[in-house]
Amino acid sequence: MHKKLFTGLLGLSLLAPAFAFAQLGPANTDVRPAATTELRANATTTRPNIDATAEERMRRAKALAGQEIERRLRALNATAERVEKARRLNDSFKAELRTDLNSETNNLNTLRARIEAGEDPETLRADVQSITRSHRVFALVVPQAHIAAMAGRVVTITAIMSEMGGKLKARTDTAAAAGEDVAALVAALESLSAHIDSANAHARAAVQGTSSLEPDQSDTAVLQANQAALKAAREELRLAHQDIVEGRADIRIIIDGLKAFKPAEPTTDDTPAPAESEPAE
Amino acid sequence: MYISKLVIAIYIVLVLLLGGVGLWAAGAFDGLTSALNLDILNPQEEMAEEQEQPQEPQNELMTGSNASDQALEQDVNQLDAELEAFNESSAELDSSLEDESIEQEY
Repeated sequence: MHKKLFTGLLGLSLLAPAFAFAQLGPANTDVRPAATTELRANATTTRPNIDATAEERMRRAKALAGQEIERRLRALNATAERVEKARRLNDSFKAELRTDLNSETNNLNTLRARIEAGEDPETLRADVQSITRSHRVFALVVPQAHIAAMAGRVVTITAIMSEMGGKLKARTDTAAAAGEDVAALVAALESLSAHIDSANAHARAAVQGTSSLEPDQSDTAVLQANQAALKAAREELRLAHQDIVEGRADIRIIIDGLKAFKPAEPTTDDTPAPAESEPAE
Repeated sequence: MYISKLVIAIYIVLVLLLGGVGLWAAGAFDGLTSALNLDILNPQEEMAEEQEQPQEPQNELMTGSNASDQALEQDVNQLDAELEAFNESSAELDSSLEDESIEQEY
């Protein structure tokens, strides 16, 4: 509203000199011919100035719109790459995320082409305003995809920790059989197991809370619900991260404890690494 | 007269029933049921097919089942690398949550 008022006032102030010259022109022709000539000259030079100003405003509007669209497209591409690399997301969910991201990318590309080609001020104004409105969709689909990708990474990390837990338990059992005091290591193993379960639960909650969110279609209540869901998922992922960090600390305690039992290491499976872990030739 | 007509009718019904059962047993209606796409009839088969596909990779550790001290340290390094990537993703998520549109003029 204020922007429209300001634009209107700006337009009026630019038109004012031409209006004044037009009022003076014909009435004073016989009285002051020299002045009239000068005024007419002024009037003819003012019109191109007005056109030039309008063109400059359109050019500037297009440039700003282009910057914003380009910025969003870069973010959408980066997010799409994250989703593609997320191995732990199932194919159908990944396809849904891909569809949302592609749809938003296509919308922005279409809008950019229309704005770049736009010559009608009213159409351009509407297109420029739609950039701001469409930010709500962008601000939903990008975090939604990031949350899904991060939850997938949590599952990957906890799988690593779980496999390590299996090795560490076997080594701990061997140490216990050899008469070592493994009470602290057993406690750390139990803690590790609890952190793995907790991290997975938080990751699952993050995805479940956001996977079905839909754009708000300018509905403020839906917008607020979406924002609350995204923030809640962010908190779930923060808690998952905390579990992972604490689980990693448990792993460190167990490894250091096992090393202190030397020379009992290693009595469990000590087979060479599998083929895929070897450097590619 | 009435009884004989009744007997003939019962006979015809029995023949039709037996014929129908025979055709069903021979699979003559399979084409019809598949044409109707009665998926709801075989949910167990579909579930069994889905379960046959592995959902996740079984091994994440590059050291496999090697439980030596050295392998465990490599596992920790792998874990740390994943954690670092998680932190990068976390920063990107925060950035996307705080994202604001460039103010447009016109």
